[in-house]
Amino acid sequence: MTEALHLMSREPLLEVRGLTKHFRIRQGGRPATVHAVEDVSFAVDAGQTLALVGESGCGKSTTGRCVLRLIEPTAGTVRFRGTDLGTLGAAAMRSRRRELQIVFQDPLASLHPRMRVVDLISEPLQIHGWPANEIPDRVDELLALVQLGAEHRSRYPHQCSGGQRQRVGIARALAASPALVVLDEPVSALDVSTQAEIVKLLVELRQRLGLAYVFIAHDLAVVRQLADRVAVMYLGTIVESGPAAQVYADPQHPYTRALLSAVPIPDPSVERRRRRIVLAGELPSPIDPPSGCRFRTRCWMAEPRCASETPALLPRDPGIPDHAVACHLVGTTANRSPGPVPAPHDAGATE
Amino acid sequence: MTTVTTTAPAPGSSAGEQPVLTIDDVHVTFRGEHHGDPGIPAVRGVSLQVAAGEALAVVGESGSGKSATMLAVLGLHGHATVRGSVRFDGRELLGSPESVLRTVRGAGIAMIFQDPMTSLNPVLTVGRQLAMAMHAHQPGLSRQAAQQRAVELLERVAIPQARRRCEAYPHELSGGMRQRVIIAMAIANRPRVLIADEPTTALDVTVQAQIVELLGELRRDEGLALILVTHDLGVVAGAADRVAVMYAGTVVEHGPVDAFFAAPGHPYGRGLLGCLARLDRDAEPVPIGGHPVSPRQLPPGCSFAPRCPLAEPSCDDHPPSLRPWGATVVACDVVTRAAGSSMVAS
Amino acid sequence: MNAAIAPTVEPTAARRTSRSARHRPAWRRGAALAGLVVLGVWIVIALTLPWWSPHGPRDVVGPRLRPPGRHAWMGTDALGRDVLIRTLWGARTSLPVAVIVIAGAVLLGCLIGAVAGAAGGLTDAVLMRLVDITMAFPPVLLAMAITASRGPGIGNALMAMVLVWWPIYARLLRSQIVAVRHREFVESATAVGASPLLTLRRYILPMSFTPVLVNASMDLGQVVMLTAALSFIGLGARPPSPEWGAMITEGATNFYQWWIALCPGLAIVTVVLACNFVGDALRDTFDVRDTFE
Repeated sequence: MTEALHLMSREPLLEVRGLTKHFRIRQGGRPATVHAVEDVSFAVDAGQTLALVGESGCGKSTTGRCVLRLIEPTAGTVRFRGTDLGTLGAAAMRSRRRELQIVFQDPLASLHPRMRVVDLISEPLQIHGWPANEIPDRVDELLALVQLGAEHRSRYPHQCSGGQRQRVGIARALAASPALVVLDEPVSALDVSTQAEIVKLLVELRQRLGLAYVFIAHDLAVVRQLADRVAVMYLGTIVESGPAAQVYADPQHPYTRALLSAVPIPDPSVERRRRRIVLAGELPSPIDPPSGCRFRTRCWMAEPRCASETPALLPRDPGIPDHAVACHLVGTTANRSPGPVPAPHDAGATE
Repeated sequence: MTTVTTTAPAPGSSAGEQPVLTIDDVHVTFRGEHHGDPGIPAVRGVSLQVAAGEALAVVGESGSGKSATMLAVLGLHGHATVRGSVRFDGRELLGSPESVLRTVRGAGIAMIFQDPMTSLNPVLTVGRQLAMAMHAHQPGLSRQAAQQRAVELLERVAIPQARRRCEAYPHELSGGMRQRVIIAMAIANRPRVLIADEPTTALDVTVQAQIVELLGELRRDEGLALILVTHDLGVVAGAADRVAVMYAGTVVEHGPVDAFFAAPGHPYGRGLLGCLARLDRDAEPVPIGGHPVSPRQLPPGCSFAPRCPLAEPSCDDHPPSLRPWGATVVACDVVTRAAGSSMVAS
Repeated sequence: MNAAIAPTVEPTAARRTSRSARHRPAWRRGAALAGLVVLGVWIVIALTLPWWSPHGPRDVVGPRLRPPGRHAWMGTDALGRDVLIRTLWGARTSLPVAVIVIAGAVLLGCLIGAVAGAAGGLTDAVLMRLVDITMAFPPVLLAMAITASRGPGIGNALMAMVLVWWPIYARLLRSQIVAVRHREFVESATAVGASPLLTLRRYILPMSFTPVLVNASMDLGQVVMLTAALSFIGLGARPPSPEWGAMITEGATNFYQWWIALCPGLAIVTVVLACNFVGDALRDTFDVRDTFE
């Protein structure tokens, strides 16, 4: 009995298992399959933030949309509060959306250009049956929450600045009090100084509202402040996942290391001493991904078995069961690198 | 206006080196909508220079006038009035006839833009576009020579299988490849100055690293003077020798990268550096706060004063001019006065 | 507000706004205004004519085939009726017919286009093939065939023209819906839990309808022309009703009396041109908005 209770409380808010998304397209007249997401699994606890990090074409946004069923996954399950969202009917899913929200990358593209701020924010409230007489107060509350003045109520999106627009997008997502918000590159369309504002706001909101985030980003630096856990994606698969501090301090997968070394550090002395891992070649096509390890075509460590066996996402160090890496060679060849590569974190430690 | 606006000497490029491009007190004003409208002052007295083999980064948020300045250099403003002086190799460009500018554009000063897709013609092969770029300035070039040089150029920008890629159309290339093609086109006529306007903004982090690396190589090997226009200070640290920070159409800080990144002088420079998310430090990024001023409603004094944590009432009196501050020059009276008094004290 | 920010931002944005109203060449603004004025004058004439017209359209006012002069400014026709007065009365046929035809075609076309675009799949395929088939016929021939089979007369011509015209709007609205449906703000409607119907009504249709409106305003002129064409070959309005096409037919039989055909011909030209200018202006206006999306 007590154990059952314990198990229940251990159940994560969101649990994704074996998520796979294939798009069928026509290429030169012939049908082809884009393997956008392949067997992705992760879990997010209430109030926790998972960062899904990877470059364009890695399937991170598709994963985010599959979680919300904005795209129907080809295979795999998405459980939210224990319910398999895939089994819900259309109407049941719509009412579930109150708890699962998304903030899009480009607020100018994702906000209805002919709706005013007040309408944009009150729409989710109306849809989810908020009492009509309470909506104006709730809108004011939300505007205050995202630190927008009341003068923005009757503006159109194009009359707001980039940062203000994204605040509107966040207010719209938070209107119906969700438990989980997917943040799809919420700051990458913004100016640097505005980025910091929005990230700060997201940190505050998480604290005040106990939100769980799935933060999708292409830049490891941006998510550093927010992420409890990091999952690095490459060509549709997760290649490394673990507690954020662990992944930043001791990246295991060669791709994670390359990605971290590519992030510029605003310090000329560090930059001069730094050895970048410059990845050779181009991202392979997701229509015909490499066999075995998908990263092997650009990996400087690749061995014959990388082409034949797909590496599983497994903990490589028994001492850190949380930190999983999908690479045959991690642990066997202690950090073979294409030269001396100080981890960026070490490099900065000289400050 | 009590102070004489003496512009402090811009911090030297490598000593003694003649600048190949000198931008001197350039103003760009977009014309007003109707009669009697004074117009929009996008650039207000910018002076910069760059020498061969040197990289200057011009940093600022959107609307700071950094791109408008560069367009003025090339005489590409249609709807604006440009004042001041732009000297390339000792020759004055502002006010020069279009025919002179055409010979300078591309062959003397080349420019690459943020979005590689819009700068390439989608219906022509890469090789053809490279050949066309060459023919514009070397009409005598034979077809074969142009083709040969196109392959060399693609190899120069590290595009594998260059000969085959000459036959490719832009949409068949990845974003990073397209940006390399753009760079190849830009250096096709061996320019002496390359202006790169946000060359990496549209690219992924690992590709961005590759492109920055390539620009650095070109600068070293071909003695190219590079002007890197960007909003991302992170890229600047590894790619530039000097940095000029722009705000509301003026340069507010200008100096060697080491000095700037070690201790930025202008409150805006400090803010820009402080709001960066960085991997090497645990300090939380601090937003600058406030909004950039509208160039239509510039304050009478320092245009950064409304957002400035150090602002004093006197900041609203008159616009500050650039004064030496350590190894850099800074347009902030509060900062430079404090430095001056501390020197007197010691 | 936008204008204030626009020129200072980076070149992409600056280029975007250069298409906005403020950089539109002055002659185009002039053309739009002229178009509006001409259409306005025609509408006022059509509405108020019975109160101030010196004669009715069928009144014989003088000798036959008299050239333009003091008594009849644009001359008289073969029956001695005032050509100018008849042309003005003609607006009371042509303009309502054009409006009704366009309204009918837009209604029918948009209904079918919306169903096709929203439903997709087999429904879409079947409806769009129907559109293709209808559009495969030359419009004038199809209208002629329909009118001829049901007998000449303005009512049948009107119906025939609706049947010829709806596929344009069906195809236009459907293509817009398909394009708009994949825009991110529609996804954001789904994400907040909007039902498909609400999404269609609030997000997709309003954003898809603009080109239909622009097209309709330009097509008004085209319908005026087709009406005249049908009447010209005897399938539309029958004599003695004052209809521009029918009047041109009369002009054609009296070839040397140029004024008989010129006057209704000019009327058609002014209406068609005015509709095009107004349509152009509408498109420019909506384009500005679209660039900010």
